[in-house]
Amino acid sequence: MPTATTEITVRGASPMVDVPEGYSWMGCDDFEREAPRRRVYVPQFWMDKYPVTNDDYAVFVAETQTPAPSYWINGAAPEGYGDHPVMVSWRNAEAYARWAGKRLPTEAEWEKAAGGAQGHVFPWGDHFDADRALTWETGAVTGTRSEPVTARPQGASPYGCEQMVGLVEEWVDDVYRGYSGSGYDSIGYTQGYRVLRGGSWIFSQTHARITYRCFEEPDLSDEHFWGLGGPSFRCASSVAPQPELRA
Amino acid sequence: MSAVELRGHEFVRIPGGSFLMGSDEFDLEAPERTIELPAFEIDRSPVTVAQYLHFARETGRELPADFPTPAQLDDDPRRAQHPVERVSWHDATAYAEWAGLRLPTEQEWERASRGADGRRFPWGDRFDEARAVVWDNAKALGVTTVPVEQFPGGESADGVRHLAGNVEEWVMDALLPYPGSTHTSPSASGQCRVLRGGSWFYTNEYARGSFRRGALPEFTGYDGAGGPGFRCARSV
Repeated sequence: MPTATTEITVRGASPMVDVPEGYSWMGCDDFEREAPRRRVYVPQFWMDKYPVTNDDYAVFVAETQTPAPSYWINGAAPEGYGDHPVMVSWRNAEAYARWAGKRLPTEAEWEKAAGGAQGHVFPWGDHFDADRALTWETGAVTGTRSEPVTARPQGASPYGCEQMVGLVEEWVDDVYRGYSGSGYDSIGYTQGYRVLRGGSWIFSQTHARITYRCFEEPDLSDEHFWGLGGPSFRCASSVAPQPELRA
Repeated sequence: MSAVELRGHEFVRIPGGSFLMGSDEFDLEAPERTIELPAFEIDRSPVTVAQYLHFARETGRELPADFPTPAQLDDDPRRAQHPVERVSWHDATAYAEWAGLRLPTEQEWERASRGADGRRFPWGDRFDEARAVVWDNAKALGVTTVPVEQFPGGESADGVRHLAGNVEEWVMDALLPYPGSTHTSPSASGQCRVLRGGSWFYTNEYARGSFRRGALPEFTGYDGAGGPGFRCARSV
C-alpha cells in the first residue's frame, strides 16, 4: 500500500530523487573499515540529485549572515564556480540543511542512493570508468580540481543521483565509528569525527567505491579547501519536496 | 665501507624467485599474476631528511617544499630521521644517481612489500594501525610523517620498513595498465610515474602492496597533504 507523503516547503535548488523504502546492501568485506557487508532496511526518503553548489550556498549565506567560505572572493564564489560544489565544514553543511528544511543523509541513506540497493561497487556498476567521475585517474594529468555538478550525467546512480563519487567528498550525518560486528578497531573511531563519502578528485578509484568511508572533524578548517578540495554535501529529506524540485 | 654505506643507506637483500603481483580488486592493479624476479637490494627505510640534505648540499639542488629549516633540525634532531617528502620523480632519480644507486622498479617494490607469499600488507593480510601511519590513525595521533625508526612492527617479511604509509614512494616505472587489464585513464597513458605505498594523508587502502597510482614526474604534492618520497635499490 502506498504511503501518503506530507508535502512541506523544502528549499534548495537541487532537484530531489525519490528513494523507495526497502533493503539495501551496506559495507564491503574486502576492507576492514567497511566490513561486514550486510543488508540494512532504509525507509523511503528524498535525496538531492546534486551536491549543494556555491550559488545554492550563497542564498543561505545572504539570508543567515553565515560567514562565506574563505576561498570565496569578496563574499562571492570565484568567477565561474557558481555551479560547482560548495566546500564547507560539517557544521555549516548541517546548518544549511536545516535552513533548507532538509537534513544531512545518514550513511546508510547515502550508500543506498549511490547504488547500494543494487549492490554496485560504483554508482553506475561494478567496473571503474574514468569518464563517469572526476577522480585522480584524471586529475593527476589534467589538474582538474572541480567542475559543475551537472557535468557527469553518465555517472548517475540507479536512482538518478549524480556526482556521488569523485569530484568532492560529501559529509553525511553519522559520527565516524566502527560498524557493529566488524571486530576491527581504529583510533579514529573514538574522536567524534563525521563520516565523509564518495572520495574526490584527489583520490583514486579505491575511494570512489560506494562503500568507502573517510572522516574529518566536524569543525574542519577551510584553510586547504581551495588547494586540496574540501568536503561538500547534499541534503536528504523524509518529506516530499515541492513538486518543481522532484527529479 | 662503500660510498653507499657512508651516505646512510642500509640495504636489505631480497632473494630471487617468484612472487604474486597485482590484484583483481581494481582494474589498475589487475590481473593478479606470478612474476619471476632476480635478487636485488633495497633500502631498509625511505630516504631521510638527513640523507637528502647531504645530497642537496653537495649538488646545490633546491630543497623541497616544507623541508625543515636548520633551526627546526637543531630544535628536534629526530626531524632529520623523517622520510624526505614533497620531492619530484626527477629529484628522486637525481638523488639515486648521485648515490650510485637507482629507484626500485615497480616489480621490485611490490615484491619487497608483499614478500614471497603474496600478502596484502608488509606484515600480513590484515591492516593494523600499530604497524603503519596512514590517515586512519595519523589524524588522531596528530602526526604527518614519522621518523623511520618508528612503527618497527610494520617491517616486511624481509625486514624492509615503512613500505606502507608514512610517505608515498616514487618507483622507476611509468604508470601503464598491466597487460590484460581493461583499465584506461589519462593517468595511465604513459605520462605519469608510479607512486606506491600510500602515506599519512591517505587511508589504508593505498597502503596495500598492490596499490598503484600515477603522478606527473614533476609532481611534488600539495600544501596540507604532503607529497612523495622514495627509497633506492640496486641490482646484485
